[in-house]
Amino acid sequence: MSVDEDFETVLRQQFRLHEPRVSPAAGLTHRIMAEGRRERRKRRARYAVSAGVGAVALGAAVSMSGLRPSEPDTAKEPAVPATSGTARPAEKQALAEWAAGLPRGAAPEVAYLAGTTVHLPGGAVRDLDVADAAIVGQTVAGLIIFVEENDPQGVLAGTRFVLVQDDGTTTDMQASTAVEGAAYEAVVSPDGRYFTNGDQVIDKSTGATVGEMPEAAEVLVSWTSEGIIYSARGQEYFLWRLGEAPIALDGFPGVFDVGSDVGLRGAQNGCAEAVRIAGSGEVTTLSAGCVPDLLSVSPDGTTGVTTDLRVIDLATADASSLSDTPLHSVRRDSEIHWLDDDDLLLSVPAGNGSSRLVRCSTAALRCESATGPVQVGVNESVRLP
Amino acid sequence: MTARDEEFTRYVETRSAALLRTAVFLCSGDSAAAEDLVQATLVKAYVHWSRVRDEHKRDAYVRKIMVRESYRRGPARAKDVAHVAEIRDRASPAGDHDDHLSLFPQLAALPRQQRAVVVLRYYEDLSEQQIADALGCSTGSVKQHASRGLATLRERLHDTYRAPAEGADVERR
Repeated sequence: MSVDEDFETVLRQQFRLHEPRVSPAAGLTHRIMAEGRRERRKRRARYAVSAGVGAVALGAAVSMSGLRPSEPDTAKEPAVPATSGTARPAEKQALAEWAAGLPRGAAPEVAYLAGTTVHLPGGAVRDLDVADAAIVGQTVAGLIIFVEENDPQGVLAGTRFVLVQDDGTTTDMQASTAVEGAAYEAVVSPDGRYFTNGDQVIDKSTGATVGEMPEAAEVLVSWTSEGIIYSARGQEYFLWRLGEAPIALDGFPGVFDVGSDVGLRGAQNGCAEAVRIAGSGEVTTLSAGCVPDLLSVSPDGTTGVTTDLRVIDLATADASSLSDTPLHSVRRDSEIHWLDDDDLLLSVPAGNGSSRLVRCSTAALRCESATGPVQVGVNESVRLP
Repeated sequence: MTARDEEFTRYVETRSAALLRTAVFLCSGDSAAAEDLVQATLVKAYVHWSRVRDEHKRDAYVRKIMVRESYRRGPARAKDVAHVAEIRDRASPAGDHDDHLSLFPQLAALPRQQRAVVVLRYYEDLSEQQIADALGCSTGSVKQHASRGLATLRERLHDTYRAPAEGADVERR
């Protein structure tokens, strides 16, 4: 035996001699799966984008999905390039200042979350007393919220779905959150009747299970007017309707609001195009071209809103502004909710870790404040359905 | 619980102890760091579990995550630096070679890639190709790291262990 072989033998024996007597800590699997699900929720959009349109477009489309994990505070963002060739003044107004100067309008028509406090349209307010919360959607049985709870050490201890009634009373749902990425994958149907956590499809008017998601479904992108768009195996996308076979889509279709067949899809130069998905799964482009800084598109696909709150006619690319003065941009992950084809609610920063909801009319080019400042945390947004 | 979660749970239950043992060596004996490493590894594995359809490839996939995670954590953390310094002190030539930690300080003295190669080669008994896959490098690099790591260990352990007669237990001075 050579010197090296001798030593290799010694080394192997030393490893055996020093082999630690260890056993995994109790509850390891539970902790890992809880953390894993949290991680998957954070990565949901990244999955969709990287698989669908390539890494180059990742930044843009992740932003559009509303799940960009970290982005500089809006107030510190550099100026955003204009879409037209006309020069824009260098001075831009801070969003907090602009929103504070808006006239006060009616309270929000939909429920919203400020941190972990849910505000209901009727005026009821309920602090959920949890570590984190996200709105899944409004159903006929109440508002479904996903919550995370930590143990006393601040480690994620569990997740669950909570049903919130109009008067603020809450009920724990029986549906498990232990389905792949849980909350952001849980969706409600556009009519609010059905809910799925990625496993069973539940009729919330009766509580009965009426079907099951295809087993391969990993990430539920949205429940559009044409069915649920989901990804499988991180690479493939499908459109699925209850009781029907999934339809394979040709790559990443885009990010869609619940109940709409219109979505946004990022392109390689950081801009985005508006797209429409048909019941056949065919995805067509609606916008005249790729629109820089496109934040959201109206449900009818005619109007776009950019991060610096310009209103874009998607057929002609004509732009007008919701503000009399140029504004700093809202974060690309700002929450936005279209009330109809013209009107929307948008969360804008209000300074010192707070945000406020503003209501804007893209037809009248006018905005008003729908709430005062509400505490949400630094770089957080008021959360909307 | 979904079939996927059940599958993952079974994997963790059957493999986590072995992963933890390897992690202890990769962390040069720091069992707390090893537990953190295993947990972080398995969280990442869970996130991407659906990509590992072939159960025979799961160990290789998880091993790759763990090695790379150990690189990422590496000596950059102050806690690890302190730990390595502490056990290096214990490994001084005048130290007690019967100390049960005597292998760990020698491992801690190795650069992270050499340490990973040595652990995977002489503890896990992996082939050069399997190690190359885990480290994301060529088999040539594996040979180089193994050779250098072995040379360092041989030098550092020279006074500690004598080569055993074939078939005999390791004799310790």
